[in-house]
Amino acid sequence: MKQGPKSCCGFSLPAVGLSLAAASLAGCLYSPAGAHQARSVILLGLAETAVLSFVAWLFGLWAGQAGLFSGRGFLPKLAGWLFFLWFGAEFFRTMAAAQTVCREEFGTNALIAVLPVLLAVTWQMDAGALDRSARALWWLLAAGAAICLAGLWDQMHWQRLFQGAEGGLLAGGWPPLPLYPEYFALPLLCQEKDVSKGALLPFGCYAIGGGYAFVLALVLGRPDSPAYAGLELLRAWAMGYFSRLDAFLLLVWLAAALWRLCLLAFVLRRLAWLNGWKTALAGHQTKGAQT
Amino acid sequence: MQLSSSLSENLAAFNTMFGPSADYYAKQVTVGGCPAAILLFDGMASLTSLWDLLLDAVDRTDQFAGLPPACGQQVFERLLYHSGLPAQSGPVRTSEEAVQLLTAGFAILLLDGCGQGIAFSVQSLQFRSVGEPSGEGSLRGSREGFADLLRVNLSLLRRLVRSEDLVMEVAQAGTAMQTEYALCYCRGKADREMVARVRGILKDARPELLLDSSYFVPWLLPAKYRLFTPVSYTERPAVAAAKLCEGKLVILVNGSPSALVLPALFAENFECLDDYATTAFFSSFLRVLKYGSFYLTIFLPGVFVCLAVYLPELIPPQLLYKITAAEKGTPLPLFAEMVMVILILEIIREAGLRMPQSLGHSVSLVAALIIGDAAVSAGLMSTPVILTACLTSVAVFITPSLYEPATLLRLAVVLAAGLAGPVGLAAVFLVFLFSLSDVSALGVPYLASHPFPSNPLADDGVIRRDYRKMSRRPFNIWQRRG
Repeated sequence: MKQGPKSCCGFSLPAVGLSLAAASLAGCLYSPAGAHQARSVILLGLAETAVLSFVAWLFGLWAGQAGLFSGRGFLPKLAGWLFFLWFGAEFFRTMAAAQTVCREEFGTNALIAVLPVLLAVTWQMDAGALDRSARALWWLLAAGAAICLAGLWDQMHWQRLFQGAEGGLLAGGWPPLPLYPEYFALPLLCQEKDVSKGALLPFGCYAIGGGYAFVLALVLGRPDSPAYAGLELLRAWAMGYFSRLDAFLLLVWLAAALWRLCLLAFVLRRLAWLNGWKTALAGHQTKGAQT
Repeated sequence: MQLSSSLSENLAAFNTMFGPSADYYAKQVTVGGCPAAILLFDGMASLTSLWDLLLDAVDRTDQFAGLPPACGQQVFERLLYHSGLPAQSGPVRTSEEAVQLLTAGFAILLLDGCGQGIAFSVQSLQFRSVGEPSGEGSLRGSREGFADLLRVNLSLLRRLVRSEDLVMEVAQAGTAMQTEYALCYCRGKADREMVARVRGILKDARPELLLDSSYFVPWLLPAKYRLFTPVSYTERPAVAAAKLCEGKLVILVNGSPSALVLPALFAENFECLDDYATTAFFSSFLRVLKYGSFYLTIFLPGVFVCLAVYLPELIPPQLLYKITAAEKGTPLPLFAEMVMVILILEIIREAGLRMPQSLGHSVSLVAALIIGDAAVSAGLMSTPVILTACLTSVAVFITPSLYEPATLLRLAVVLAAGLAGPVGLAAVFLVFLFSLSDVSALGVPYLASHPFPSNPLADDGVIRRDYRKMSRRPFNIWQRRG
C-alpha cells in the first residue's frame, strides 16, 4: 500500500534537519563535558550513526511501502498512536530543555507564557510556511557557529586532544546515540522523493555532536569533574571588548528550539488528524488569491 | 432599461435622472430633418469639438443634402453605418449603457423615432499632469507617473509595452460609484489560470466604495490578521511595465494613480529602478544596506532594551557605563522610556504627514528638536534611548513600502523584549519570521527564494549579478510558485 499524498506533512530535509540540529545542540549543551573522549565520540559515533542511518533507511522504505502513516487499518493506527506518543515525549523534552536554558541562563520563566502564544500563531500555518522560515534560522545558526568558532579560535590547542587519552577507544564505553522520532517518521514528515536522502539525517546530528566534542576537547581538554557541562564551551568565548556572548549563542539556539516545538506541534496535529480527529482539527476559511 | 423610440420619453427619463445636476447638458437639435437631442456632461465632453466634428459635418455631408426629411431610424443608420463621423462602432441600447458612456465623457445623440442612441467620442476630461510621483524617487529612468484617469494610465502602459501580448481588461466594479478598473497582464507571460481567478475575484468583489486599487486587497487576500501583504504598489508606469513583463498582474482603478501589482515578493521591497542603472557591485551594496536598515529598524530598540535590562554582560563595559549613567537621571524604566519615545516619534510623523505640506516639514523638525531637547534637559528621557529610537525611525524610510509592518513589529519587539526578556526576543523573532513565511499570493510565497544552502543568493536577490548575465535568463514570477 502506497503512502497517501495527504498524509505527509511535506517538510523539506533542511527543515527536518534544523529540528534535529536544535535537538542535538540541546544534547551537547547539557551533557557532561569529557564523559567520552573526543576520538571515541568521532570514531565510534560514526559507526553507530552508519548503523542507525541504515536502519532508518530500511524502516522508511518499509513504512512507505506498508503505508504506515496512512491512518487506515490497524497497524497504521497503532503506529500513528505510538509515534504520537514519541513525538509528544520529544515535544516535552525539547520544552524542558528550553525552559532549563531560560531559567538557568536568563533567569526567567517567560517561556511558559510565550510558548502558547507562539503555538497559537502557528496553529493555522501550513508546512510550507514552517519550511521557508527554517532557511532563515539555518542562516542564523550558521552565523552563530561562525561567531562561536571565531571567538574560540585562539583558545584551541591541539595537545589537549591527548590529555587523558589513556585506554582504548572503548575505555569509556560506547558514546550515547540519541534517537529522535524524525529518523523513523520520514514518510510522514517529508515527500516521497526525500525519504531515501532523509536517511542520512543521523549523520547531520553526528556532525554536530562530534564537532562539538572535538572543539570542546581542543578548548578545554578533558575536564575531570562531571560538573562541567558542554555549555562551558560557549562560556569560554571571548573576542576583544566582548567577553560574554554565550547568551547570544544560547538565544540563537533558543529560537531554533522554539521553532522545533512548533514543528513538533504541527506533526502532533497531523498524527491526531490521521488517527481520526478530523472534525476537531479541520478548519475552513475563504482563501481568495492566497493559495 | 431599454431606450424608448420616443425622444421626449427618453429626455424625460434622463431629466429625471440628471435634471437637478448643474453639469447635465441636453440640447434639442434637428439632424437630417429629424428631431434629436445631444446629451453630455459639461466639463467631461467638449462642446466645441462636438459641434465642429459632429453637427457641422452632418449639415455639410452629401448624404443628407437634397434628401427629404427622414425618420429617426433612417438617420440613425445613415449616421452610424454610412458616414465617416467619429461615432462609437455599436449603438447605445439601454439607459444604463448611456449613463456609463456619458460619465466617461462621451456625448450621446438620441433621435426621435429610434430606440437606440449614438455615442460620440468627444471627451475633454481634466486630469492631473503625468508628473513624477513624489513617493518613489529615482535618479535615473523615466520621470513619468500615473495620473488619476484610468484611460490615461492605460495609454501610459501601452506606450511602454508595445507588444500584442499586453492585455488591459476594463470592467466596472459593483460599487455605488460604478468605478472602472483595469486588469492588465501580458498574455504569454502571466499564468492563465491565475488571471481567470483574479478576474473572477474582482468581478465578485463588492466594496462599498472603490477609490484605490488597494480597496480590492480584502477580497484578493482575505485574512483576519496579516503583517505583510504580498502585493506591491507603484505610481510609475515604468515599474508597472517591468512587473507586467515578469508575468505579474497589474490592477488600476479609475481615480487613483496607484497600481496594485500581484503577486509580490518580500525581496522586491528592497529593489528599485536605479538598481539596474548602476553597477552590480554598487546596487548590491545598497541592497545589503537596505536589508540591514530594515532589520535594524525592527530589532534595534528591542535588542537595546533586552541587553540593557536583562543581559548587560553582553554590552562592552565602556558603553554600559554610559548607558547606566544616562539612565540614572531618568524617572522611567528604560523599557517604558523606549515605548514612549517610539510613540512620540510616530505622533510627530503622523502630524507632519497630515498637515498642510508647507507646515509639515517645519513642524516635524521643530517638534522633534523641542521635544527631544526638552525631554533630555528635563531628565525625562535619556540620550541613548532617543538616539536608538531616532535611528530606527529614520532607517524605516529606506524601505517605505514596509513602513506599516516595520512600525508594528518594532513596537512588538520592544514590548516582548521588555516584558519577557531574551525569551520574548527569540519568540517575537519567530513570529516575525512566521508572519513573512506564512504569506503567499496566487501560489507564490512572499518569501520565495532559492533553497538553502544550494543557491542562497539569487541572481537578483540580496545581491545582484551583472545585468547582462541576468538578462540571459528572464525572470518570471510563476517560476517561484511553492
